[in-house]
Amino acid sequence: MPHFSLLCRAALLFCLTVAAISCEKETLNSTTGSQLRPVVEGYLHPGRVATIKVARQLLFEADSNTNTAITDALIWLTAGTDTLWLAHTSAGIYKSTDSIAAGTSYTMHLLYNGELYQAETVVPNQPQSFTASAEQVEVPVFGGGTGGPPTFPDPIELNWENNDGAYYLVVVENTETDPVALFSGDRPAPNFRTEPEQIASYELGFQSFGYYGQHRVILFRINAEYASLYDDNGNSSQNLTTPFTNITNGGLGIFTGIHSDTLWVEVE
Amino acid sequence: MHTLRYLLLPFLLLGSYTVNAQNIDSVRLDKLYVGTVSKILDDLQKDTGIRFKFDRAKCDELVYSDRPFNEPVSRFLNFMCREHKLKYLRLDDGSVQIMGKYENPEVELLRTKQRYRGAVKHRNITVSGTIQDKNTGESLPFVTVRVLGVPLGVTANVDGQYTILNVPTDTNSLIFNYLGYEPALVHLSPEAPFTQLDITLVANGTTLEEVTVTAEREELMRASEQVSAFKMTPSKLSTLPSLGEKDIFRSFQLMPGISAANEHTSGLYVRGGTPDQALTLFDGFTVYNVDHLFGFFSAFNANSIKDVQLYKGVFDTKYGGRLSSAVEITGKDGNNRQFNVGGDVSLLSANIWVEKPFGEKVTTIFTARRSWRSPLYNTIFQRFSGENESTNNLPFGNQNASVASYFYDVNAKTTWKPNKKDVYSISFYNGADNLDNSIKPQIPEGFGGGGGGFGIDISDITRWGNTGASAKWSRRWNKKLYSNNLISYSNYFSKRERGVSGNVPDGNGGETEIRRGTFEDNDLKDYSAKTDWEWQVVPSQKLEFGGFITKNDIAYSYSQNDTSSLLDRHTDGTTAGGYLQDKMTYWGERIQFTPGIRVTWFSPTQKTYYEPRANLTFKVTPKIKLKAATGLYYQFAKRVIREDVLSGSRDFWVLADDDRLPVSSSRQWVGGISWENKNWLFDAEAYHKTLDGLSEYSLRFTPAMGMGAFTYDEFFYQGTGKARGIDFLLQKKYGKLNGWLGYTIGETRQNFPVYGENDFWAANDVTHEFKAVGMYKWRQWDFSATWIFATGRPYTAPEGAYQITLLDGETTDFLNISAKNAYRLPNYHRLDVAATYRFASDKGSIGGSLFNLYNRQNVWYKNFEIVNNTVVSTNVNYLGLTPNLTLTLKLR
Repeated sequence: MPHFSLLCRAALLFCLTVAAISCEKETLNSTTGSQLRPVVEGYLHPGRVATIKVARQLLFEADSNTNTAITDALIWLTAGTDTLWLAHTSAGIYKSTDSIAAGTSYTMHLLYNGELYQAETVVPNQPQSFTASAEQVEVPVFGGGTGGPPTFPDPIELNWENNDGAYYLVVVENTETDPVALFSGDRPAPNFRTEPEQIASYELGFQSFGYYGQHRVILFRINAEYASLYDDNGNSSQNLTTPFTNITNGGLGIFTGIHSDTLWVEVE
Repeated sequence: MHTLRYLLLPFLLLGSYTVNAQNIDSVRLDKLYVGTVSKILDDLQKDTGIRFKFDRAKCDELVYSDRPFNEPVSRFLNFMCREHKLKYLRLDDGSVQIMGKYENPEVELLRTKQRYRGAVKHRNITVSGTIQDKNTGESLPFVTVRVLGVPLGVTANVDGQYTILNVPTDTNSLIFNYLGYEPALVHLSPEAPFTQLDITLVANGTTLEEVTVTAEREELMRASEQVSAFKMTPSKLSTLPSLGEKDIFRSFQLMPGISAANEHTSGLYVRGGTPDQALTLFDGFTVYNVDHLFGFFSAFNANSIKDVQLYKGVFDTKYGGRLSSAVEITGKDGNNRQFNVGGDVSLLSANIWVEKPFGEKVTTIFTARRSWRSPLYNTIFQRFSGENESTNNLPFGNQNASVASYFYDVNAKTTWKPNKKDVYSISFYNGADNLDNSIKPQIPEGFGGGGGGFGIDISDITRWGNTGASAKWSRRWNKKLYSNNLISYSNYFSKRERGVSGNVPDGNGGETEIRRGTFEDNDLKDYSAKTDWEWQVVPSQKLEFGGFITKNDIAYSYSQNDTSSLLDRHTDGTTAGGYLQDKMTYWGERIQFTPGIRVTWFSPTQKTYYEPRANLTFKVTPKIKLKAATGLYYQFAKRVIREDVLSGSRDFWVLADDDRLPVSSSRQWVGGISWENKNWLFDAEAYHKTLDGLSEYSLRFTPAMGMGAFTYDEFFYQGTGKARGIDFLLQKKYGKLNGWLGYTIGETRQNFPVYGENDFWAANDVTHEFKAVGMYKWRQWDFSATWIFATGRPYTAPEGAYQITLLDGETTDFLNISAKNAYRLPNYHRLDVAATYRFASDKGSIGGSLFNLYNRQNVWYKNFEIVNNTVVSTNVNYLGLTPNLTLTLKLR
């Protein structure tokens, strides 16, 4: 009889262990959790209100709903002891009422479907001493009857201070309403950009431009996390790379601070 | 003085049989005797009145004829026995016993005699000897020997030698038990040769079965006395359903705690561990990869295996360098009686074995098998190689696919036993798979510079294999001390090449060499020496200790295209150390406690690793046993998974360096209970295991900007793991219908920070796994069926896409991969059945089996292809219903 009770006790021990395994809260990766991960697109510009777009990914498996906007998330930013609440405006875009300050570190908190996603960024200070060597660039005339080769103008040299090895990105936008293309043929895009690099100068030759007219030259001071988005994501038949993100807890997308300065250049 | 007495004892005993021997010397024969030996002995008994005792079944098979001319019976018997490797003994009662030349007369007589009823002459005696197979003379390792009615027992060593100290009296009885053999009961008597009590055991299912007391069948598998350990009988494997080959590793996968839902590897996924975490020793050398034909078959030929022991965890300190489990395979020595040859032919391969003794002290065995391209082979090959998927659309020319694919393996072993104490053996193994699905185009004449001036080859080659060799010297120094010394070499290589290479015109009249695709090359060498010692200090205490040294030399290269060598590692290192283990029994053997420690020094890290382990069993009653064990385990040479979401992950071996690749470790706890009676066994074991220093290689994470320049070495990631669960086993051990039910509930989770903060299910996680194995014997037929159910395994998949608008207003598309192992494949289940007919002559069998009887489409993995920035997913399935036939024949 004592043996029987011993056996019973041992059996009970096993049952308890099985129950313990079965009942433990599930914290592991699951399909549902994986598919519901939000995609964040948040750029913090100093002096402007915080604007963050939240969407879900478009699933490969039987996803007929192409409206990916997430409208029921709860989002707030903290900077030290300050809190900025963001409210949904439209189509998955959330905005704050207060403006962003330069040189400040912000943490984003996004509560969606019971999960908290977070990301941190520092809003950089404005680029210093952004100058251009000229305000115009003249496109040489080819085959104008002078007989000799055309004279190529000097490129416009953009300069700024970069003492701390920060990343910079130059975006050039044509602001004409009906721009005239430099060369016949396919019409290039009115805007172009450089690759994010740790540089302090950039040369804009006339060949860089596609159109005549006024151009806005924006120098963005960006963070490393944003620069990572430009990495070749390398998806091929041999490799599949996971896109870069700085959102925690399995979130996707980018949350980053940027600061810019602007110059004007005319192509004649 | 004692020694002298034991030495003289056999001669004294033999002398006692020569008393009253006038009959066969004085009675003379003068007529023709012809027929079977049984008939001749019957005739002799009728003619002379002398009684003969003999094994009628065996003697019925022997034929003899002679015409003595007035010669004594003894002379006639001498000639007859010499011809048939027999011998005769004159017994006290005037009768004559006929027996095999190599059978031990004393033991044979003891076995047949009733228990000795006389007075005790000796007390606290030591009994020792060797244990062999009765038909082949093979020594039988790890046989358990118990003294009846006394809590005293031992396990024989790997050479079949045993010693029991302090047997209370010379009238006790011993019982010898070995899986797949009839148990032997031996009654001691004061005249018994205690120090040379050599025993022969009879395999189940041989012709002698009819004359033994128990006609019941011994089980195929035995849950051993030790915690988490199993034994299996290779000779019984042929009764289980198989696909082409009887396979020891496939059969182990039918045990609870070992995952069976992996048709793609013969390796053992034990309790959340992976095949590389399982130590596999074949005649002492380590085998690093156990797969043939994409893992559908194990690299070991069952015909060359004598004994297999599996430790599902918490293994002895004698074994090391692995985190999860240990398998020790002992190869056959070969028949020491006579030449024998046999083989199998199945729809997959042909297999031959040859055994030949040289004199009475040297035995040899040679086994070989090779696949042949039968329809069955082609089915498996095409399914597993993705032959249909290979890219073979060159823009020009005819294409000849020169498909060459086969696997083979050979085993050879020579054993020399110069005396009763020493055993020398050399064992060799070589096996490889060569799967070549390459295409060589025939360039038309005049095309591209004159026909044959250049060419492009599409290569699709997978080759891998093992070579291993060991030389062993074991010696029984005295009745208490035994040693086993071994040097060994092992090599594993794996080459995988899928790509395009050749010369193309460069437009300037020259040629440019191109080489595109993926190229992998892994080569591992292992040079080892070790010495293992066993010292039976007193009956209740056995010390096991030893030392080992291993030098590993491992190279791995992985490149894409001709320029980008992603990884090129070549490392070597030495592990050296020793171990000590103390097996103690208390309270009349009811409690067995085995603490031990293993100490290893590893040269690449210049550190010493300590692995304390302990093992406790407590027999509450003769039927109920409680068990508990714990231990720490380190692994230095390890296999790393190269993650490939699109077309299935691969793996390669590397040596830890404590930098990118840490030394892995695991800590295990096991607790269990078993209940066993004559026919049934119920066993339950709970396990908990933590793993540290796990490694994985993945190219899908590019380092963030600002991290500086990177090398591909950085893509090794580190993580931890946890595994826990309970194994249940209910086994019907004997009877015409026997088999078992096994069930495991478990989980295996891992945490690699690179895949996120959460734990994720390991790729080999299986929540529920159920197995039913049934075998039924009817006359000459063996029927069997196995059914397996397992929860689907987790996998990672491309999941969706999203867009981000960049600062310049452009949008970029990103393809997203799911959280690590967030998806699960459908549940796996399968029913296999088999029927085997054994020829009445016991010289072979013919068997048929149906694999996956109800044609379940079990998914092996998902294949993903990116087409126009979207993902096309296809299931790659395991085999459907597949029949097989196997014919087995042997000379004797």
